Amino acid sequence: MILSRLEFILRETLSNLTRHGVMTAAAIGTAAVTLSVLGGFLLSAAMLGNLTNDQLRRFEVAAYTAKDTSRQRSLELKKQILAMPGVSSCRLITKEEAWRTDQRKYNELVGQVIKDLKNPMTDEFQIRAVSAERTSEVAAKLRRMEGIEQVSEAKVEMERVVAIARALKVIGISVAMILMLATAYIISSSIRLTVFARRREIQIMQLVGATNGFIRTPFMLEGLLHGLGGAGLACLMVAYGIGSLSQFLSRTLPFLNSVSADLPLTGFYLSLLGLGAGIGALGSALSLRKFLRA
Amino acid sequence: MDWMIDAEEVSLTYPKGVQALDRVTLKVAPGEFAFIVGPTGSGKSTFLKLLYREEVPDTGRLKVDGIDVPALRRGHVPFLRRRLGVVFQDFRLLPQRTVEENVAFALHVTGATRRRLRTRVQEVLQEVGLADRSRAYPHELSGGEQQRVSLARALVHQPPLLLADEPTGNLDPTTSWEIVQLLSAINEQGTTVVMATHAQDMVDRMHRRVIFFENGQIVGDVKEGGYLRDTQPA
Repeated sequence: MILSRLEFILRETLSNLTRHGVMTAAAIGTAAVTLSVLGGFLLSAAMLGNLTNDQLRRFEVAAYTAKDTSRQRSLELKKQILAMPGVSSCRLITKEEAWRTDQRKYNELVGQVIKDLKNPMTDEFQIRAVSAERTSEVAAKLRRMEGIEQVSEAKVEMERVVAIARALKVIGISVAMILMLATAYIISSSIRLTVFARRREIQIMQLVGATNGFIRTPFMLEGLLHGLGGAGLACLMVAYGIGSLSQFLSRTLPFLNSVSADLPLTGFYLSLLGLGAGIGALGSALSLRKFLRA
Repeated sequence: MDWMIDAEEVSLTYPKGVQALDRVTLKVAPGEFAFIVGPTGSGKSTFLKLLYREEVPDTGRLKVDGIDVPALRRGHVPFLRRRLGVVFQDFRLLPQRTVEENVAFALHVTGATRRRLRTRVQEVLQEVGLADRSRAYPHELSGGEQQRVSLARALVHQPPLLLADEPTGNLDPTTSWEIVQLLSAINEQGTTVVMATHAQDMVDRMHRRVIFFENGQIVGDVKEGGYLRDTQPA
């Protein structure tokens, strides 16, 4: 009995999809367009986020040892810095290396080689914090550290970039919320139309003694398939868009290559499909409520 | 006695203030055949709607086959409807399904097995004389045939009570007479039939119980009567 009911519901759902072909196409098309707008926006926001993070990651703190610090002491200091909370990397630039770089730069600029001058440099550490926000905290700790004489960070500039990144995040999230609501509304409206077109059928079902659950199930399955189909199309469109965008970027702005590289695309597509299916099923159930109350 | 329909002082006022039914008391015994007649807007259809719980009375008591209909919770309404057959003037068939599918649909909602479904649908189509049209679509049928399909659907649950709201309103006199004959045959097998109608000569020819509605009240009730002769108030 349960099996025959399941079979009936599945057959109903499938034949309804084909019977109401135009309505099905309209609902799927609406879902596809709105979801790809939403998806495109979310991905662009994520890419922009990656870009700012990339910029932020370039900020580092430089710490200098006192003069006459032994190499061994410097290596010990490096270990201590790496053990500090909030530090992601620490590179030791020996005073010899620093001196060579300086000499070369001077040579390039002035065209003379510096000779007969004792190396005035100290060992230097280039330190990166795990996040831009923690850079100041790391710098403060370095200042208190024994063996470190001087600490420098690009504070003002960094704070500005952090502020911009934060603003982008807030704007992105609020626009995404609005878009999400609009998407849900548009998709459920188009599904409401398909339900409205079949209100007579619903009346007849009620007349012959169908329970609300019995009426609802094929409609919800249908809505789910509408949403899923639309989301599938949206995924294809977004994937195509991303593909051409990253191709374009790698041609014109090669240094931005990483922007789309580390996006969690699989998870994103799965969420888009889930969102479409959810809105579809829920939209159907809500649109049916009005007719089932009678 | 256990009445099939037992209405006691039933009243209903529509939201706009129109009094559709005014203290209607009516009893119909199991196995009876009764016509409900009266002018348009006299409350015939509304009374039938109370019986299959499309409307709920404001006051009064109403039992159908022992079920206290107004007290029924919404979730239980489908189970009442499976014990009733209802047919209408406009047939209410699903246009994209065949005759067979339209009838089977009413059994599907109860979760009937496939074997039971097939035999019962054939049986009931035979009963209404449409066994050879089972694969036709409603638009391929005449009005009389469509009403037969709708009757088959109403009867597929083998309901003790069949309600017909102007079932011949869209049909020519000959076809109408055939449908009424069919209803009469169904009645002879034990199903209680209540039919609202405007068709005077048909009521006159049948000599069955006639209940006359006017302004939401019952103004006449005759055991074996005609449309006007016996029920029209003086």
